Amino acid sequence: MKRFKGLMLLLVLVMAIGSLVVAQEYKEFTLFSSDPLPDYPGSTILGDIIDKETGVKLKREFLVGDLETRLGLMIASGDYPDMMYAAHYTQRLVDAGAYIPLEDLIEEHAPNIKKYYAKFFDQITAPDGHIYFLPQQAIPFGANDRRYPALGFYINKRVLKDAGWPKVKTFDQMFELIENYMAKNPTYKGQPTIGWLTTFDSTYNYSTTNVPQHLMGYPNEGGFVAPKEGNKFVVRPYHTGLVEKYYYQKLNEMYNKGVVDPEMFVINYDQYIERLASGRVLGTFAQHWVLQQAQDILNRDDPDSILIPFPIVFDEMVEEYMRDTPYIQQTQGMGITVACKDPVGVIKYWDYLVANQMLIQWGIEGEHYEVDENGMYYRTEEQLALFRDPNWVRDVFGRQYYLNLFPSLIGVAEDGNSYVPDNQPSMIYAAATPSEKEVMDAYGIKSFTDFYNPPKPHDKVPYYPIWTITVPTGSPAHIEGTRHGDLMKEYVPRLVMSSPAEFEIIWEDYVNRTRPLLKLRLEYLQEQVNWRVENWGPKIEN
Amino acid sequence: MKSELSVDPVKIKKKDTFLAKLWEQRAWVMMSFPFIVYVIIFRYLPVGGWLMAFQNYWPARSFFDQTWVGFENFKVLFEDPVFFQVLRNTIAISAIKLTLGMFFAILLALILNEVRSIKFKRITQTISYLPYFISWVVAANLVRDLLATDGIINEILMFFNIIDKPIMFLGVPELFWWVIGFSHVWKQIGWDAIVYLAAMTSINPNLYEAAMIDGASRLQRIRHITLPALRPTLVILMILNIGQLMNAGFEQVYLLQNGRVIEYARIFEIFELDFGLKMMRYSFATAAGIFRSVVSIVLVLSANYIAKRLDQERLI
Amino acid sequence: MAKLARFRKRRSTEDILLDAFVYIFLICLIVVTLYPFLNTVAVSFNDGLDSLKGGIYLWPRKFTTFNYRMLLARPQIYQAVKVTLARTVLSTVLGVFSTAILAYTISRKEFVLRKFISTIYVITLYVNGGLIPTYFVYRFLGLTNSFWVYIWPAILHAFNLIIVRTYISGLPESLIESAKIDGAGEFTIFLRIIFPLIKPVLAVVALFTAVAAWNSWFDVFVYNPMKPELSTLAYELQKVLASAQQMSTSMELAMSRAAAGANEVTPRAIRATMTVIVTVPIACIYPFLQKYFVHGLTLGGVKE
Repeated sequence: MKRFKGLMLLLVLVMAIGSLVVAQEYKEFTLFSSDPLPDYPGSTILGDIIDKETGVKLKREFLVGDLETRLGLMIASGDYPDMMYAAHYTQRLVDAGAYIPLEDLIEEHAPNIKKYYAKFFDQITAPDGHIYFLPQQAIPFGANDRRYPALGFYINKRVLKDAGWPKVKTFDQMFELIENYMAKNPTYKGQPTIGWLTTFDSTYNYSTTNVPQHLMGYPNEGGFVAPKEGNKFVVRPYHTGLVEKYYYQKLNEMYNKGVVDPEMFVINYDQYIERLASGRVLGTFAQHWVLQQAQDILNRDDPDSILIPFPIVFDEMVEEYMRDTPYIQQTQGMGITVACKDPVGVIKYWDYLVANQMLIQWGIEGEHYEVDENGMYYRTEEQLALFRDPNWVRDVFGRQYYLNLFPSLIGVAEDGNSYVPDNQPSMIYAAATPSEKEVMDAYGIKSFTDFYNPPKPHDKVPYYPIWTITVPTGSPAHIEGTRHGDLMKEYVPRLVMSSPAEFEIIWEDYVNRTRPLLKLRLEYLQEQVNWRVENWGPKIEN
Repeated sequence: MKSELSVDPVKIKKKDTFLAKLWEQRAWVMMSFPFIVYVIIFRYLPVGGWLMAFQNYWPARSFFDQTWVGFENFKVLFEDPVFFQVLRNTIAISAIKLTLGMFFAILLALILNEVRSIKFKRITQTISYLPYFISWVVAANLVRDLLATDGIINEILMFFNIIDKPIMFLGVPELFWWVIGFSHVWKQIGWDAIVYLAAMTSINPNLYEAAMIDGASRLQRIRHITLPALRPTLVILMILNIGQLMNAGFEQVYLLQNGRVIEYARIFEIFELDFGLKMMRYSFATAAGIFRSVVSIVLVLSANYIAKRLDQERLI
Repeated sequence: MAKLARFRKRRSTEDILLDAFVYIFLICLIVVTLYPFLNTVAVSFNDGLDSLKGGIYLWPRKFTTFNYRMLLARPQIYQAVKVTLARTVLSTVLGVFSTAILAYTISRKEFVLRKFISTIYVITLYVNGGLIPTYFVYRFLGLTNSFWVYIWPAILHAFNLIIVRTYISGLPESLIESAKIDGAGEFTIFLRIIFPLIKPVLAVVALFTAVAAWNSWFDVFVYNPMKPELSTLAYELQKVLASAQQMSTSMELAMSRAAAGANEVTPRAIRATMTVIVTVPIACIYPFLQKYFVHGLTLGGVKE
């Protein structure tokens, strides 16, 4: 009896100690991200689930000041966190030897990453044969649809309504519409109407200078385009080309007629948004994210003046393909640093995240989304309301803390559901505002991207996009690029604001000074494009 | 203790040596010595980093693994096509800011000194330096709103029929430097005046009373008592500010510039950033910084020398 | 009597004109400097998205305290305020005292090291080793990842040193002479005679040092980024600003907002709110320092 009691006691003791040991202990990893976010609230819906299931707690640092300084110090001192995301400085970190190779880790410990990223491995492998970082988004299947295309020539809804919902194709047609409307409505709510305005603020001035390539039908390729000539892709500048001349000449004409905002080159980005939000701007060009805040205000306070995007070109004959070919952002991503003591743990953590994308994006079934008879996800009105509050989404749900930093997925999953809830086909129309719906109904479309042609498939443009090719830091080509940017800052205002008589002279001058500043980058980009075509493209015969 | 003023011919020779003097003044030496060490460690030790300017610095490699390029970086700096434009703009802007800034700050200090109601004086002074705390990002937007074609300045000018069409102030290249100058005054005037106000407190009030009894007018009192008392502070600050001629005010210029005025708005600090740090060309950025420091020191020493010659208070 | 009468008359015309000029100038100044601040306050109490439309002058159009809650209703703020207060008080006290002592020594014309010290300090105004070399020196001294990096480097600033020195030089030598004759040592002279007399200029130095300490966030960013317990108020505010800027141009978020008018935090609103939060304490402290800017020395004379 005594012995039995003793044994029991021992057993209980062992179990007690055992349970203490087995009780959840968390690993801790440190993380740096160049995307500023407020400090992690400590507990979020997503975070709690993920922490528990992976046994990992993260110590996060987000960028507060400027990235150059922070990274410069990190590299110089060697004080790295375990994992790091550094936006457009990723390549420099690789050059500085901050990241460790990942391909073996993926091979052995990350089956999900392997599965989804396999298609893109050759795109993210560095010339030395290693993979140093994982881009945040891989696209397993179909193209990503959205309500708004990535960029467009936006026309004020009132103009379209007034003209009976026309289909606008060319730059000239667009200005005709605008001029007609402006003649009838020179003021709006007591302030002068602005026919055309794009921002020229130093950080966003490509909204003005990139336009010629789009008028030619191209999507955003950066400063150069690469049309197919014969069976090669030849990199060409569109700056100083004929379409650019047409573009600035048209703006010059419109400026002198008073259609273009006289203060276009003087105001900054904040003032640009102010003007858009006031509803009196009739036409603009921008990438969607540049003006989405203004659009939000308009949707809320002045729904009749919202801006509608169109793919406009310079001539009827041009076939546009302005939508982005799905591409993987292979110049940026998250990597594991040389200071990490447990890379296996980190890669397994990432692997878990990639495998649970639906959780991160959609949430918990029944609480944050529902499933219909066909297995398609959707959100009810209450659920939609929850997710409309960006503060709730970030601080309570915790979405931003797991997206956009870590390897994640967009596009359409195997079961047909979109990873990003707002791009769920059923939701694109359903979640639009009444004003947006009015426009879509008038044109008989379900999404504004229906105005646009589908993007060129990857095998037709294997190098896409050129702008992700980064010129080596500090190289002569890089300097040339900065000088070119500076030159445009000086000349574009002059081209647009001078009198029509002076235009030719200024244009000549501009061309002569710009041509020499394109050489080095042209060479480098051509080299890179050739490399990409060879390594990423389908093997082209003949 | 013997008074320092006593003159003993025999002992003078002995006391002339430096070490002897040090010993004699050992109280002062002890009081100041920690601070000498302090400044050397905290401010001069890092200057060793200037050697970077003579290398082709790449952050990944250790300091000793770098390639040495001598004066190459400086050559690149001086040969840059916009170098002289940048220099011109920087100095012009700084000079305007310096002159306007000092003039208005002193004016404000003098005026505040003449205010009789202490309450009013205090309130005005507190309000006058509020703009100092507004960051340039916020302030630049305010300036833009003010100078816009539908802004207050244009409205006032049109109301008084001085102009009949609004002027796009920020778009006139030749006005840019003055826009920078006056917006600087607006932002700094209250804060800069503080130093002058403090200096004025050391004026003996008896002097004013005596002058009043002698029949001096207020303006005369200002001219003959207040201003001379301010002179040392004024001269010193002027010398210090002349040394700052190479710093035109990065944030302010960057935020107020635009496409039309770019030729007048390219200043050294922006240039240094664009072609230096943003491209991780640390060596180039350091070389540009060294150039600026050298010019500043030359300016300060020259100004100091001129002050000495003119029998004014000296900085050094 | 006649002299006095003439004297009084001359006073009145000139007096009136001068007074008028003074008051006009100051009223203009108040308008020009107060308006931007009131405007900033108005924007800080205005709905963020609505502010983007512009046109806010002295009064909020869509009143909300959301911006303030966004910035202040965060648990980290309490620790940050404590740290900020500590560093402000410490830097100011140490700074004022150190500056005063050193300024006194270099104000003595006979001091052999006078020129040397002045020169090496003045040069620091125009010479900078650069961020990375400075970082390494501080690291070597054990100041990184520590509270003391906020204090030590900021104790002595050449500008403050020079203005105090100038002020001391303006004091009558006779004071010091008589003290020496009475047998006072250097340190006593400094403490008992000089220090009390230079209160106005020390008040200025205190103000400059305190404001700089109160506003700093860059040193937190460079030296203590991974130490949340050493964060300062300005740094916390900056964090909110950075994430607001990120959110306003995020393509990803653009799609998910269907303009329901939910409280949206915009960089413009945040900056305005930050300005107010940071400035109000300073505007409250300043009147205490103002009393030092009083005319006259206690030369045994009467204070106004």
